[in-house]
Amino acid sequence: MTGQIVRRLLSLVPVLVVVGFVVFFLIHLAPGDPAAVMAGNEATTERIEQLRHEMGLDRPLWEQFVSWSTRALRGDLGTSFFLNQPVLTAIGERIEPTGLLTLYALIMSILIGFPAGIVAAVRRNSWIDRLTMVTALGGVCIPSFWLGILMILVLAVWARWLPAAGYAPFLDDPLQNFRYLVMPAFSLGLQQAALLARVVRSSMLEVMREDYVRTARAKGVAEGMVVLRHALPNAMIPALTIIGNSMGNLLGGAIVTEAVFNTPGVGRLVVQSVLRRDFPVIQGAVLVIAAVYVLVNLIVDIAYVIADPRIRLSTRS
Amino acid sequence: MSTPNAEKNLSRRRFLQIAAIASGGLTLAACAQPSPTPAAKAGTAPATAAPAAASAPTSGPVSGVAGATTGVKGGTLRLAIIGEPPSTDPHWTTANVTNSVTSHYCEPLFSLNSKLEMVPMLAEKLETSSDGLTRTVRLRKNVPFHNGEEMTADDVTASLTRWAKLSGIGKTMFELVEKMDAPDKYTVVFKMKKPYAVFETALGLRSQHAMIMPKKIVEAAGDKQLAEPIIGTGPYKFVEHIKDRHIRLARFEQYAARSEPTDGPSGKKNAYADEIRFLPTPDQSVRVAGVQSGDFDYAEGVNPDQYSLLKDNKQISTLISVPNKCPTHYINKKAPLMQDVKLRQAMLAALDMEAALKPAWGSPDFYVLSGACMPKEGPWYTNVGTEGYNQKNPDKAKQLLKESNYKGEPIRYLTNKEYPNMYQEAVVVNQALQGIGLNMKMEVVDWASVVARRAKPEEWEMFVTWNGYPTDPVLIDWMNPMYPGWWTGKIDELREQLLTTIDQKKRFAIFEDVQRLFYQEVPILKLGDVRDFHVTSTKLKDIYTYPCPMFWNAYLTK
Repeated sequence: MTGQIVRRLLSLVPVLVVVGFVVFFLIHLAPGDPAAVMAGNEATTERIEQLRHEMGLDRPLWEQFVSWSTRALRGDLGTSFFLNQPVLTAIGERIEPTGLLTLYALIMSILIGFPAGIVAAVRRNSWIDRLTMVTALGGVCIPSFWLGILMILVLAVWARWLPAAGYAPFLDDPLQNFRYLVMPAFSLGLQQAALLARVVRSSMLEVMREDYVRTARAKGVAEGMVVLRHALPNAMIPALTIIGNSMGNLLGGAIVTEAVFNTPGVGRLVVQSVLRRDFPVIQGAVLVIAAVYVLVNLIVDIAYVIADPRIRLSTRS
Repeated sequence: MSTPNAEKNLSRRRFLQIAAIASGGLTLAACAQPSPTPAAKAGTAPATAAPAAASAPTSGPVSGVAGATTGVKGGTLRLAIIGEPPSTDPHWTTANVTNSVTSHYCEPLFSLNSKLEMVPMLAEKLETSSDGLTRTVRLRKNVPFHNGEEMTADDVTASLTRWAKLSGIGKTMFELVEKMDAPDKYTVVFKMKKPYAVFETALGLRSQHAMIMPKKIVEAAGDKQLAEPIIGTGPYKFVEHIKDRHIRLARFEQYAARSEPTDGPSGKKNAYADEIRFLPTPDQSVRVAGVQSGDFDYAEGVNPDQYSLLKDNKQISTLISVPNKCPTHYINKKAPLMQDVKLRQAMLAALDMEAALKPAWGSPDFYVLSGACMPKEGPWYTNVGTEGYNQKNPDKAKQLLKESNYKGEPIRYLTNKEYPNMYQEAVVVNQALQGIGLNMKMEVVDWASVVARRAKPEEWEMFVTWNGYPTDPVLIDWMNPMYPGWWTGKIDELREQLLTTIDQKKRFAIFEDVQRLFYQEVPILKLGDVRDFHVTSTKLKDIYTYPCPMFWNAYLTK
């Protein structure tokens, strides 16, 4: 397995090279001038040209690419045009909000999805089962940004229970941090929770038909123990796959959620950087996100193999 | 009996335990990111005195307060602005959001008052020689910077030297400055090559502002951006800036306020609030929701179509800024097609200005049908020569088109949806021009693309923007021959006269000629005057919003 892991890690290099190449040329070929954005609406052409020169944008494109990519190989992703700080610092300052948002969303999706799926499976074909599955269907279909806006209206504007927007760092005030993130996390995690509930339900139903479950019941084991100790652990394998895949979806969904709730995370940084044509940040952030995505998938695959020894990492990948 | 393999293999239960511990550890490690200085909790301190009766005006010649204000000291103003400023260095960029933020911690030599006149701010007075060639600025004494040093003439000359290198207006002005001297600690003398009528206006223009900062700091920065904290003389001092999160300013207790009563942006600045926080909040609906939920005290740049929904909302106050700006649809006079004056006159004749303004700006609370080139509220307002405005005459337009050399060539018309009002205006204008037989090609791109493409004359024939109103007509964007649109010809002589004539009555007469020529040559299509819409907490009073939002006299009531 170690060899497989090393091979998967090495495969990160060509992925990042291709991503870097594509992102660089896509954004440079798209219309829009970062110098004009920096200089403002009333700037003269001279001032804009002055800034273009300072930013190195008047050099040939291939020269800019070579300069950027050789520095990127050394871990230097350049300096943000707009923020006037190293790209890695800019991303680093925003990792915490995005990381916590994704984590809270994942935890919420598990805390909601698993119990809902289990209850639906145990009460199969009852009104609880039908209600849960209809709600899950709704959860899958409802766009997270719409749900977010609705939650702001009800919980922040009308009820004033939670803040509408903003962020407090975790170490400064964990409770306030949670208050700022609970709505975004819920709106982001609900879709995954709904998906998880449906998968847990169907795999529970499959496992509950197994002989060993019948045996456990026949031996007089309490129904709760049958479900939780005997059926659930084996039903979790497909759910683990969903949880693993959902990391990528949550990271992507965080971009929209951060815009709706004004959370100062990596997602909002990427969106704002695109609008203000902050090339170094766009390039750097996309590389970092691609690397994180690959690494997270690898971790999930390893976890999957550990959870089910019948699976090999090569077949899993 | 356990086998070696069983001992090596990890059970699912053990794996889940390890995973839970590892996740918790990773979370704590992630949260151990060194965070900048802790952000103080957002909130308002209780008022320390009975609230004053003054309230944020929503009407009147300008939105703001003239005369003494009696506010309540204390609290933190949480201001949701449209986005992160491209810089906190006032010399660096013309971006409005930078102008708005920097004007709280930096000050210029001159400033606007409520009647849109330029008056001294850091200057004590301005003396002009009889030939107009020598301008002597006497500075105020004992004005401290935030670092404790006193502002002197050397700081002024150093700041203006830097400003002249980075700012278009500064460059233009200093091309006419033969020499700038500081003969003593509180005097700066400018020897001009020729009379320069907009001397104070250029030095007080709120766009890439000629702010005065310490000599050592500006000289060390040179052409590079100033490092934070930015040091100025303003009523608030720079405390902290976390990009895309907040800019924190705190009251400067040693601030040397002017003794005259508050008069718009000029006069006494009271600095009632203990702290001001600018919170970049790009999404408009989030800004409004934040005020409604009590998380923000102010939300700028709300779409006017929200006015009817919000005006009766008891959780908030609405604020309409007057005067503000004018929607301008620029015509590219470097493009051979658009050099045809008859064609441009045909475009003007076709337009029903109200039909273009109403969908974009909602109610008449937000737009004024005015063809004048300067606002009604200021000293330059005149209706002379504006007969061509709002003709609503498609028949006349078609006739003019027949008389032109137009043969059906495509007219590329750039607009964007980032500023929805611009897009909505463009849709109506586009339709009207198509109606008279023009082959319009509306191209909807993002704002950054509009800004990039408009600098290239080969890439457009028309584009949409807004122009603010500077204090002096010679500084309007379309008067600048270098600004995209590139109006030259007969206007060059009038521009030169306006720049070099000192007598105000004569200048006004020249400006009337400019306005006549504006409607004869139609360099741009001016739709009218429009107003910005902002939303505030009911507790926030005394904001002044022209030419950009100012909070140094604002305060929070209980």
